[in-house]
Amino acid sequence: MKKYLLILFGLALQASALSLRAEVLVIAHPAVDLSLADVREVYLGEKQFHQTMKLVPVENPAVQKEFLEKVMKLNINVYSTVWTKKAFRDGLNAPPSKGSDLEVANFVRSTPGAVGYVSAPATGVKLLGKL
Amino acid sequence: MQRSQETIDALLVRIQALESAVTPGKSAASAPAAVPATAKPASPAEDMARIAELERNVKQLSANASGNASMIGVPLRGFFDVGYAQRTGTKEKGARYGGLSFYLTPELGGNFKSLAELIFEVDRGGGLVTDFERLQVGYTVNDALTLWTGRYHTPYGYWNTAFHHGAQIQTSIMRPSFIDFEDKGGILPAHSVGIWATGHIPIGGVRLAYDLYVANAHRIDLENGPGTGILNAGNVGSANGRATIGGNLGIQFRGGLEGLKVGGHWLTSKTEIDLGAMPAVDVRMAGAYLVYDQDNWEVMGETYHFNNRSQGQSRRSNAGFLQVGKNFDSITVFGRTERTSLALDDPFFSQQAFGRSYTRNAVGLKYDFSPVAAFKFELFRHRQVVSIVDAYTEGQLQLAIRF
Repeated sequence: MKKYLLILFGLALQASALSLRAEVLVIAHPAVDLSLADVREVYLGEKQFHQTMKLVPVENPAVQKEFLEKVMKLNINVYSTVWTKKAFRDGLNAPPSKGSDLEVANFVRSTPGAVGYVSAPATGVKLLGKL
Repeated sequence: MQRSQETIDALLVRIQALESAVTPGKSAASAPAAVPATAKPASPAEDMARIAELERNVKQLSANASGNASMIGVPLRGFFDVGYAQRTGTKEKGARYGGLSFYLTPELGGNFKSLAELIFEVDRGGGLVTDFERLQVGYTVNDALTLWTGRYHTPYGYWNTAFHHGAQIQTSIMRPSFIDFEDKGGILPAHSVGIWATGHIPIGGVRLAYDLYVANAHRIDLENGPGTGILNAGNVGSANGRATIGGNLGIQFRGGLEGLKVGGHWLTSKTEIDLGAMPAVDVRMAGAYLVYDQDNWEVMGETYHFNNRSQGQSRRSNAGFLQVGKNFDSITVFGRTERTSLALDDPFFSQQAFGRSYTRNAVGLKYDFSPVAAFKFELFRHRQVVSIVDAYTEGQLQLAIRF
């Protein structure tokens, strides 16, 4: 029994270590085609449309830190201030948060114009970048 | 191994139940059925995959449960500030509260949006003043065009739309005096009522941003005799049936010059004074601005050049400021110089309570001790020449909060 618990603990530690190096997969609705530079503009509130389609970005709190570091090149405080300014100046609301990879993937898959990011591959969406 | 398998399965069931509980509209019944306890033992590789999934789900649930409320949008947002001021040559000194601003940004569906801001502040006598600071409804056609209608911050220069009542996002305590609010020292119409088109267009490596607005013509109300007027935005219509028309055209740089914006702005209006008791003034203003906000530097400069005309005579006036700030982690230090040279015989200025030439030099610092709160200190020297020299030095402290 003790042996199995140790194995389980070891596996959990290994999984933890893997999750610390979490990848960020930036995904979008299949009809959306954006570069990662465009994605940065979308999450800064500077780009709201792809051609005639209104873009709908969503946050994923579980991998937001990695997304901000790798894609936005911002920390959470600066990012929060950016959206305070956008709301105050332009009347724009910050992207809403979804609860998990699954929810983000489902939303992006089913919502025209949706853009999101997840930590594991998802089906039925367009992969815009992997960091 | 069998018991470990059972433990993992039980945890997965609990996680699915928790996910259902925290996700509105998702019932526990919709969660996938648990793997039966009698299922055949999984291989170590499968166990590893399950544990990794379990870890990821736990992490996501945890992050979701403690999600950053400010990131998902707070229905009611705002700013407020309190402070202390002391001026030389006067006995007036002491604590003060600045203002409490609430704003909301309800989305109206489709491409419609709105912005409402309500401000509570005190006048010089200490009386409570409330104002519909902004009340706008907008329609975004695309990135190149958003149309707003209602009462908005007049988009001249940079400062007026960038900071306004947002004390916590503004480095200094005081606005440059000549672009302060109309009843606090400003000589320009900080608010307008009408329509406003705004947007930006990418061109090469830069972005061209513009504003065009048509508003009720502003007027100067003289409630306490000549030379005491305050600009009025004309909330219920133009007093003379005329319009204030203006624009702002800027270039936002990208790449190596990211953070730099340069532009020009102009405004024309036929300004009624004391409801027509005095000759109206054709206000003609044009100017330029520069902003650099990157790499811990914050540089802002704006110029305003007037060529106003009344009773067949043109009069020239100028105003401008330059502020340079440097950020060191959570502390930003800054210096600012501002000056105006206003024609004494131009009724647009002489009939305004604050329409006098002055110079002001300020230094100060802002300490952001939290992402939503800042402590500020500012010291400035103000010198105004009318018939006698009026000069004083003032120090101010401010605690500015956003929520």
